[in-house]
Amino acid sequence: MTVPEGPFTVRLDAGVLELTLDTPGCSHNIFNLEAAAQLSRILNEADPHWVRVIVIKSGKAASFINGVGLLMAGTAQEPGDIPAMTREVTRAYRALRDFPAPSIAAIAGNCYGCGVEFALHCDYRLACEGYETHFYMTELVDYLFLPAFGATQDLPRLLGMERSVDLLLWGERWSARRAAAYGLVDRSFDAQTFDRSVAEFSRTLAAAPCKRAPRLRESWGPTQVAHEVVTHERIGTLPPAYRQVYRTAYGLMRSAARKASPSPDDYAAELQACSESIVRPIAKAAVTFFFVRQLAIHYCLRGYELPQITRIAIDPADERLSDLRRELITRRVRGLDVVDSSASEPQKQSSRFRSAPSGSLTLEFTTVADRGTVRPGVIGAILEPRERFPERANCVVYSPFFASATSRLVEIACDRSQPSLLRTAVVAVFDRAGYCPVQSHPQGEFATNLLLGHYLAPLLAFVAAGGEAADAHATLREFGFIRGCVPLLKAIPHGLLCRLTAPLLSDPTICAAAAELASSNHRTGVMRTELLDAVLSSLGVFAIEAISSGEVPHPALVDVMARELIDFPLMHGSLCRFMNSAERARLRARTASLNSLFSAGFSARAARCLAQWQRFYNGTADDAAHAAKASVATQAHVAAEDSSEWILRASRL
Amino acid sequence: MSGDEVLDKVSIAIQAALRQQAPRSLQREHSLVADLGVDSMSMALLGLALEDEFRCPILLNDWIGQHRNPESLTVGSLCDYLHATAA
Repeated sequence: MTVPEGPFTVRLDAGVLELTLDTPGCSHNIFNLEAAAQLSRILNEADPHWVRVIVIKSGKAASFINGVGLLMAGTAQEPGDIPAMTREVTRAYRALRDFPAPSIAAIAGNCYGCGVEFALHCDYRLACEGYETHFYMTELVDYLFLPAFGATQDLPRLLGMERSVDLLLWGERWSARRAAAYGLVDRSFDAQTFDRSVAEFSRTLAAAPCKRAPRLRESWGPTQVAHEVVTHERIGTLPPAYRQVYRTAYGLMRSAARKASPSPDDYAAELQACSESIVRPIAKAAVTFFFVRQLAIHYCLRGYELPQITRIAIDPADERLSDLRRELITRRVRGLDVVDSSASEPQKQSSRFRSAPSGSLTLEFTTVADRGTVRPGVIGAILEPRERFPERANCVVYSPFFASATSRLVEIACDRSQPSLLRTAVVAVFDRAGYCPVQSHPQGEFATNLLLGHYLAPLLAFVAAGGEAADAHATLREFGFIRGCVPLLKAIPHGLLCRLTAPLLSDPTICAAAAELASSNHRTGVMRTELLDAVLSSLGVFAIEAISSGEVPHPALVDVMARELIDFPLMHGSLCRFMNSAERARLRARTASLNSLFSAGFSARAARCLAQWQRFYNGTADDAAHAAKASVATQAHVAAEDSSEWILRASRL
Repeated sequence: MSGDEVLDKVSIAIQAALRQQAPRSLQREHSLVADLGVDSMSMALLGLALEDEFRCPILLNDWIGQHRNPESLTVGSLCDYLHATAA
């Protein structure tokens, strides 16, 4: 057969047609129009007499298929645009499902959104048990629109309602093993033997090719009825703006779960619902955050890629690092080798690090003593070999939530004088290990802590001043916060909470209100506009001060922090995007009302910040001159910071 | 900043973001998606490369949202947008 050009490479051997997707110039696979057109042509030209099995593989280490591409969602102006945009991809998916020979999705690397839907069009799904293979439906959870390629129809039939609701509506991430246990994939194999296992499975199937007919996993009964009640209750706790799209998704899934086989009309109904949801303003805003997140990680990594092997040296006797060590070992992340750093004498260390494979990188993590006290969640990172990077080659990793898993955010804090290799390598390690790393240059308190303080202080002050805790929760929910503040209040040590909020508050003793806020019923209550304005003003001050001081060097990093740490609502895009000049002017006009909650000093700071700062990202032409001034001011501040005394050192240097 | 200067900066940024994929001589009519192979992932890389040239954080969402389909995201359209918002 003639092989059409495109991102798939093609190999036909003993009746097994192996198609390997490798999106050029990208670390992730995108099933874009070019890939779709090539796959359609390949399947059209493939001779069913010769092809007994099709195997779809990935040429990327960490990505099977991450999506179809959000440029379609970004450019759709009205519902009628979507069917034309998705036609080529739908045709390719259908061609795969309808091809006479059975198909296998050999899933090594993350399988997200449309990638899951692609795999559902294959007859068999085999998954690799590495940490970088997870299954996750992005559409509703990350972008607030409905899937377009059959997930609402295929998942309920394959998994039953409970599991498919967990995956599609509630955003569960499934490992390969969990996906196999729940029936999303047929088998999972150890990463070391995955390719061999797929080859054996393919050969066996080629000997007796067998397509699979759609089947219904479960019939609709009392269990499903009870689950429907629970699901609708949970949807009712979401922010009001989210409920419609969730109810629509559930309705489509419910209908699919009661039919033995799908009809074209069912898929058409899903596409229509997708088309309507994708052009809604909340979906447009949510899509923005995808680009913000990409910008943030690219800003931190600047094209850096970890070497083939990176050794993570941690002392197993250090209990304060046990959570991190256990997580890194358990996750078995590709290319990360956790080794013992308990040897303390310099000679032993030199010997140990000399034994590292050529071209590898070694990072040693130790707990950091800051002013003589080891603070929870603080980890030092040291780059080896020390001959190249002497005593100052260290940075600090901070998360108050390593143990509680409340947030994936990890702050990589370092002085600007540190080698960029150290900073980027630590960011890359945590990124690959599934955390959400953000670099910072703190001048005192960690940026993570500053953000927590600015978010929680007005809520605590409101309750302490006699406001209803339920109203505080309702206010957050109405604005679009899903998680709310309770998980943070439960995870943050009381002493830390008081330290972070006290400087902002008129009464520094009021963090006792945390217990009331954390334990109250948050399904009742009413929205309090004055509280919302206080929360937003406080967050605005954090963003403005963090960026203008250079402590957080890019607005995208502030946005990722706000999203990952406090669950800033997707329906508003991102914190810095939301804080446009009109919103800041609105809040500025209301700063007088802040006096009842905040200290006079903080209220004055808020008024000053909101009045002076002009913009975070490129915006209107009128903002350009102000932005240039702000940029000059930031650079001057950064220069001053370089000579400051702020250096965090690892304890064992 | 003149239109030519903006085009020069955009060309440099595209070359930096796309490396070997971009043709040496970029025209305003080039479609980033259809001709240059830009996708949603590489669009963020392009934003960062543009930031290096224009010296301010650049998000391209609003520009993307002004178009009716991905193929109409052209070099010329990007230049016009940046001339209005970042130059």
